[in-house]
Amino acid sequence: MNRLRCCFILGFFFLASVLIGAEKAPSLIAIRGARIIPVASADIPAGVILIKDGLIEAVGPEVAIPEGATVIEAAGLCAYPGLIDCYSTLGLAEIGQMPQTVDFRELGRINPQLRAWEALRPDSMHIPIARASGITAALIAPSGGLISGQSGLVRLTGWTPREMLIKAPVAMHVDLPSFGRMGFRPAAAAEPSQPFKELEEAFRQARAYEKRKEFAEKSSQRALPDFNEAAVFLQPVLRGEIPLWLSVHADKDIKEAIQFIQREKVKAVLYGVSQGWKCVEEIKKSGLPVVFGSLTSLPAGWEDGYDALYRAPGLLAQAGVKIAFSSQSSSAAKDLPFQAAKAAAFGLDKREALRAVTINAAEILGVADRMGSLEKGKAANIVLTDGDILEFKTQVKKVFIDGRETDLETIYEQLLEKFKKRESR
Amino acid sequence: MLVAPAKGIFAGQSVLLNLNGDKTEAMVVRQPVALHINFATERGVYPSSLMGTMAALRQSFLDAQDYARHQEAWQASPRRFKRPEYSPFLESLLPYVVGKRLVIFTCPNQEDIRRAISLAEEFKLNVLLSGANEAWRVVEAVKKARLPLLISLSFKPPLTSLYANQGEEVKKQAEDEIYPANPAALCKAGLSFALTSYGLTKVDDVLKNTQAAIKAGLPREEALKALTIHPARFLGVEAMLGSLEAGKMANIILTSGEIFEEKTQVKKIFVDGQMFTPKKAPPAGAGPAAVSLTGSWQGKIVSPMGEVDISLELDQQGSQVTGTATVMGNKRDIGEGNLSGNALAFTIQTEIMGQAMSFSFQGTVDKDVIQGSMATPMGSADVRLSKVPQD
Amino acid sequence: MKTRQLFFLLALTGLIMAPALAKGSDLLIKNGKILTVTRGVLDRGDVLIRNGIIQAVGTDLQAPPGIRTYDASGKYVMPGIIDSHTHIALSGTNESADTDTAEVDMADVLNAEDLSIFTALSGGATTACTMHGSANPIGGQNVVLKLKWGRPSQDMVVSEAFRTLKFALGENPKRANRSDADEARYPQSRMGVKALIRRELLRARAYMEQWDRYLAQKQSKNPAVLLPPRKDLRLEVLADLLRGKLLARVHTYRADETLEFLGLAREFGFKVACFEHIPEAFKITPELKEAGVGTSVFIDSWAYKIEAAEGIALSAAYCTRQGILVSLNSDGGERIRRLFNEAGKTLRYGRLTEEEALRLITINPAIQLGVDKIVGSLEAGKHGDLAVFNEHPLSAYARCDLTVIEGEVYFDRTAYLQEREEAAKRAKAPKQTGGAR
Repeated sequence: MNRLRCCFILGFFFLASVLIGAEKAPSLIAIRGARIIPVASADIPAGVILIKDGLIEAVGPEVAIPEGATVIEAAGLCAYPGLIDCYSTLGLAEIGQMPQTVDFRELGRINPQLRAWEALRPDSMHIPIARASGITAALIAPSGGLISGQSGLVRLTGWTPREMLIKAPVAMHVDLPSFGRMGFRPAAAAEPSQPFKELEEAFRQARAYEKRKEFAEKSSQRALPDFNEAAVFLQPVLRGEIPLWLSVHADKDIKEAIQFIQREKVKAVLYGVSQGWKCVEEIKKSGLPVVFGSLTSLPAGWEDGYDALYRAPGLLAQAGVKIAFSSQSSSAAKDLPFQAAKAAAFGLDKREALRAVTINAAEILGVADRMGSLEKGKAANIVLTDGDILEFKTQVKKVFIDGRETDLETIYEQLLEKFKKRESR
Repeated sequence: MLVAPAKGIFAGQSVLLNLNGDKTEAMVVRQPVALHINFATERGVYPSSLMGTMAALRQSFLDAQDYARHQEAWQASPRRFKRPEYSPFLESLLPYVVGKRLVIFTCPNQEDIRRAISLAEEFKLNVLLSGANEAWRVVEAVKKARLPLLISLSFKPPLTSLYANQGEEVKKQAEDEIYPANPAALCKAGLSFALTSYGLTKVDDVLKNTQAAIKAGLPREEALKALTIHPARFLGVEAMLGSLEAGKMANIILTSGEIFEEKTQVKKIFVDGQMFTPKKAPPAGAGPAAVSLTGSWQGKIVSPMGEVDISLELDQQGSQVTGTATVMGNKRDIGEGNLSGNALAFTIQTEIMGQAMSFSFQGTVDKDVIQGSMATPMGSADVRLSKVPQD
Repeated sequence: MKTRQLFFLLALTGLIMAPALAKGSDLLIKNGKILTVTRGVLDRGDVLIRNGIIQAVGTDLQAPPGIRTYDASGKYVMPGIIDSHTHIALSGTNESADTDTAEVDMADVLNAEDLSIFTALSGGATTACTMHGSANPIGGQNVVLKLKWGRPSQDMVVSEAFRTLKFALGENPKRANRSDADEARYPQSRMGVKALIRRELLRARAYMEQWDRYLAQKQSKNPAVLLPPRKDLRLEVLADLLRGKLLARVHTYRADETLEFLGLAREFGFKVACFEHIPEAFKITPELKEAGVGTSVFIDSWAYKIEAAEGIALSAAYCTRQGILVSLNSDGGERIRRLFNEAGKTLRYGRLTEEEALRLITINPAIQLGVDKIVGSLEAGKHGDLAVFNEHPLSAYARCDLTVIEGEVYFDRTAYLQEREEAAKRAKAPKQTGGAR
């Protein structure tokens, strides 16, 4: 009797430990047989990706799979690096027209102190939907005013904001006037260049503040300056630690932005760039990267041509400018790959289109050492699909983030399943 | 001159005036001439959209017909029918909808022309199309409808036009080259029309734009007819106006040359047989200033329509005069201000009841009194201002 | 430089207008991959259009010598895209000063110069139902247009289409999204919206009874002595709805308010042509099927309002598989140029077949609009409306290269690019001579 009871107890513990162990993600995974598109190197028609402790351990046509590895058979599938969205409001906006659910925009013109990731809502229904499109990381950013605040890069998985955060801050965002989504208005009359004057003034004040502080710190007889929020939070930009991310659209503004950046000697990224097709040379000479907003906006004016936004990425890429794409909104986040494909329909090289949502994005965001391609040492952000990841008809089969397979179920499936039950009655 | 109310869908009824006389009554040649209808909208009340206006117009015409029917039936058998409720609005529509008096639709763009034609046909109205500076784009429809045209001499492309939506340069070129060809195009299509100042803000532009239309291909004789006999015929006053014939009203212009030549000056004007000599504007910058204008001036503009207060804040530098004028509560900068000897001239661009107006003043300054006349699109008015003493 | 730019713009406009004015609606499309939608796919085929009508679809067709020909080798030919619900080519969208404005007719406010027409053509769209907005529970009458850029507006109207009247339910008509500056007006609740619609229909019924009585009496008594009731254009339109002479097109979001409207339709005996937007359609497929009413939807534009918070991207595909007639719409002048992309999304969200997806923007909206006898597929006898793409239209890499309506070319990307190149050359020339611009 005792022995039986012992067996039961032992068996119970054994089972328990197995079950608990089974909840932990496997640390050694081999994805076998897929067509691998590393992006940074040539495609591998059929190969193996070995994942260890969340990082890519090996990628190649023939890789030895260690014992104990969980093998995922992927013959007939394609393996891509996880896509990266260079501007999103994922987790910052749930229902667009309900201000109670929108947190990426503040009052006021100069707000460098705002940090988008501090308003991040990890259980936004939009995040799994974007992830199910193969997007594994997104830059969440504020907008509005002149200096909108700081953006951060998040992974599209995690229970808490801290678990989601990859890198913060990434950039300081500045919004210049745009044409709005309606387009085809008579080209806006010359706007006063106040925005740049305002920026110059803000920078000047921030530099002056820092000087006064330095000066005062050297001698205790000098009074320390009062706390100045804007000045303090602009320092990382002025010190060159984070880039200025300028949202500019009119070609006049783009040119002025480039000059401003060169005068102020700060790092920068150009965003939006609706009339970029008009100043390809200037952008190229500046050496600045360009991130496009949603291509579903209409061109600014009839004179721009109906395909102005569609062809700008191709023109700039051909001239050697580093480009990337963004979804620009939480509810359209899943469309990132289709933005890239649309540009490819109008002249962007297909390979460059893929680079624009993977390695280029990583480089622009300063995380190319950790993601953006399938290479040893980088995070195991891998997407398995049954075809071209930028194509509509492709189904995304699996998404790994940091080596863990993520749940691809979204509110779409949940609601449909719930209501499908009506049919079976 | 046909003077019509400007705003609203049913703007009102117009009157034909001779531009003379110190009494309005003496100026009237014919009234009412026509009912004027605009494809405008209300704000905040129905109809607040163009499609609402179209429906409201149709319903109004139907209601007028219904009203007439009801009135007639009740007059014939007052005991059989309920007395129709009096409606001042429908009452005033009757002569036009049922009585087929002249209705003038203002049509700033080609779609408005089509709308007017369809309403004219649906309700068998007696219609004139006014404005119609896009008539050249719908010539076939206009020809088929056989409606008389009052063509505006304003050549700005309307806001709905493709020419207005492709940037400033296209718009300017359309205004300078394409739209001035409207009268010529209509002439070529064999249509007769009148030319009107509707839409212009400066009186001088009437002649200037007519000259542009001629340059764009309108034959001179047609231009002259379009300013004389055609409007007379359309407005039903051919018997008394529009040509130099014995028995007609003595409305005559004497000019130094062919009327549409650049250098021609108007020497004498006869209205209703009364002679007027146009005053010359003093040449800019001529002669030293004899008086000081700097300061505040207060006075009145007196016109056949009534009196209006005017005050001026002037600053004089040599022969240049700048400052502001306040008319009916609107303060505006004065332009082209010039003092030569004691001859003063300036212009004011302002708005009266939402309509852009240009006033140009010519007169004299004597010690602390400014006197002269103000030319407006609606006629000439006497002006007298006194200097406000500065203590 | 200014003159050069102008020249380019005017030439461009002229170029666009010229084909419209050029005579001849005969056209031969050769050697393309023909996606007929209703008669399968031809890997290599021709479409022959004579006098604006498709005379034949087949391989190596015989055509009259000298016919204008377009070489579609390597390209895909599909029927011109039909947008079942938009607001382009109009001078106005809403008559929002009253809650029932059935008397207004969007055909009265056509704007043939709306640049959105060209935008639509650049995306392969050839027919569109342009509609009253959703500010009122009962809006106005809609109109179906062929997007004949450069033609006078009345040449664009498709007279064969169903007459339809716009209704709206939910947040828009109850002014939920208006600013505080606007005065609140009845109805402010979904109860009020339905009650108002019912009231207007009852008024229309009473109006019809008045007229029926008058007409009956007219036959028995001396007609000269009788007075007809006041003709009320608003109630006339509603009466036509009750008589079956026009159909309802209903903007609706929530499943429950849709069902309520179906109840009204049954109560008053009128027909609903289509439900607009209806993001929650997947919740009530049995009822929609039973009522035989189709939907006109977005694929994945959602979560902008709380009533769109459950607008799943899988809805369109699911409804299609449940046997409901689904079409896609643009609701404006931007999406109209990428309806083929929207259709492409149903390959991913719901795994529709290519043919099912293409139907959403061709034959399905044609049926809903009552124009399926003349457009919606590439078949002999139908209008020569088609679009040519460089890739399969459902590919994310697709681009529209040619748009044809009734045999006339209204958009030609090659010509467009050539003209742009030449204008750019002309703009550069004066710089070399050092001449002043």
